[in-house]
Order: sequence, then structure tokens, then C-alpha cells
Amino acid sequence: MIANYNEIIEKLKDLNWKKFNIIFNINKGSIGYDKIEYVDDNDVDIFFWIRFGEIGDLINSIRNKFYSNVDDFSKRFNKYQIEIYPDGEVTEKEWWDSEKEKKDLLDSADVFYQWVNELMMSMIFEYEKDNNLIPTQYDSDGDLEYLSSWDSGVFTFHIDKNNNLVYKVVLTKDGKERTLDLPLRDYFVEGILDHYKVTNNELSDDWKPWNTMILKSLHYDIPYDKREEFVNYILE
Amino acid sequence: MEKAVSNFKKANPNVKIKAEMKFNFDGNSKRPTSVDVEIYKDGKLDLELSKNYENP
Repeated sequence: MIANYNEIIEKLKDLNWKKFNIIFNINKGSIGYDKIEYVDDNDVDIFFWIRFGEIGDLINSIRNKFYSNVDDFSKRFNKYQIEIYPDGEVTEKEWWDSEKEKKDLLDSADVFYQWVNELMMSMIFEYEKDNNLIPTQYDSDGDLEYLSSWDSGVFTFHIDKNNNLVYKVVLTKDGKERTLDLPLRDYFVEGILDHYKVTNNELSDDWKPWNTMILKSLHYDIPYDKREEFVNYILE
Repeated sequence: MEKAVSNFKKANPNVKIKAEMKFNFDGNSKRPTSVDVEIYKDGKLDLELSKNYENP
């Protein structure tokens, strides 16, 4: 048994139930319910919501088990089911749902540009700060204040025939363009290459082939419903 | 989540969406360890969109 279920049983104490059934959906980053219901004395399935905060220990236990097994194909799971009976009997099982895996991959790939944009903004700031490329001023309290060094940017990421990342960072301030020789963090490069690999292989039925991603940034978050104005994938 | 809500709003512009978020902290850290998100469509809880997110 992965956890103690007294909290759940306690919540059901005023109901007539003969089985409680939860199926969790889990992936790297989030966990939620696929199903949460009890079966009453008439064999009717009845939805029964339990807030995540009320079963925080259980969620942490499932998450820990998920991460312990996620790299082992024979043990990994993205569904976790718990059935609880009034006499205290509990059955648990976990399994891997390939369709859910694909949906998770698609969902992540669709918002990948947000991760890229946020990290690029962060890496540009850190690099320019460390190299005194950001204009500064002192505020009214005498504290150093960093001003914006760019209004918009175009980030181009190309994966060459050797599967290496080639990139270019062009920033614009007051209509004047400059190219920034920005070093990228290793995990960021790995993230881009992984996105390239997944979208061109596992998701090739849903994604057009590409080897170049062009991201236009206005130095703030890109909302999902505006992404087509700012993100472009092409095959060169 | 943003993608799912955005797509849903586009397809159902008249449905009222409400989100409740509870940020969870560990010890004295000011950075939340997770956030509980509950999404309601016209007052009805949506099971697919309601999740606990790690390291928001």
C-alpha cells in the first residue's frame, strides 16, 4: 500500500458506499484525476471530489513512485488506480497508457515555445548583466536599477545535418538591431534537441517536419492564442 | 493548462471559466513547491483541467 487512506475513508463516513475508485493521471509536472467516484449500494457510480490538498501525502507518494520508475520501461506508469472498500481493503495498480503519453507529448510540444522564450529572456539578462551590457540607473532610494536593453528579439534555432544546434540571437532596441553572442546553457540545448527529436519522430503524424524554429519575442510572455504570430517552424 | 483553456474558450466563448489556485509551500521557502488548480466551466468542476502542478 502506497499510503494511508484513512483521510479518504473519513470523508466518506456519511455516505452509503461499497467501493471508492480513483484513477490518477500523472506525468512529469502534474497529477490529476482521470476518475474519482464511489459506488453506492445500488451499484451507481457517483462523482466525489476530493481537493488535492486534502490528500497531499498520497499525491507525493504517487509522484515519488512515478519518478523512481519513469526511466524503466518495465515499471513506468502514467495511470495509478486505487480501489478502497469499507472494510479497509485496498487494491492498487498502475500501468502505462500510450495514448495518454502521446497526448502529454503533444501538449508539451505545443507550449514548448513558452519555455524557450522565458529561458531566453532569463539567459540574455544574466549574460548582459555579467558583461555590463545593460544600461543602469540609480533609483530614488539610491539602489542600482537595470533598464531594458532590448524591446524585441528574434531567436533562430537550427538543427544541422549532424544534429547540432546552430543558433542566432538578434535583439532590437529603439529600432536598432544587434546580434548577441549568447552562450546557451547545456540543459537548454538539450531541451531544444529533445523537442526536435520528439516532434520529428514520436509526433511526426501531428507535426510537420522541421529543422529550424524561429521565435519572435517582445520581451514578455507569449500567450498561447497569439503563438502563430510569434513562433514559426520551417524545414530548410 | 493554458492551451486547454484557450482552446476551450475559442470553441465555447459563452461558457464562463473560473480558476481557483492554491499555492503550496515547504518550510520557509517563498517559492511554492506545487499549486492546486481547480477549473470550473459554468460552475461545474472540470476533471481534466484540474490538477496539482509541480514547481510552478
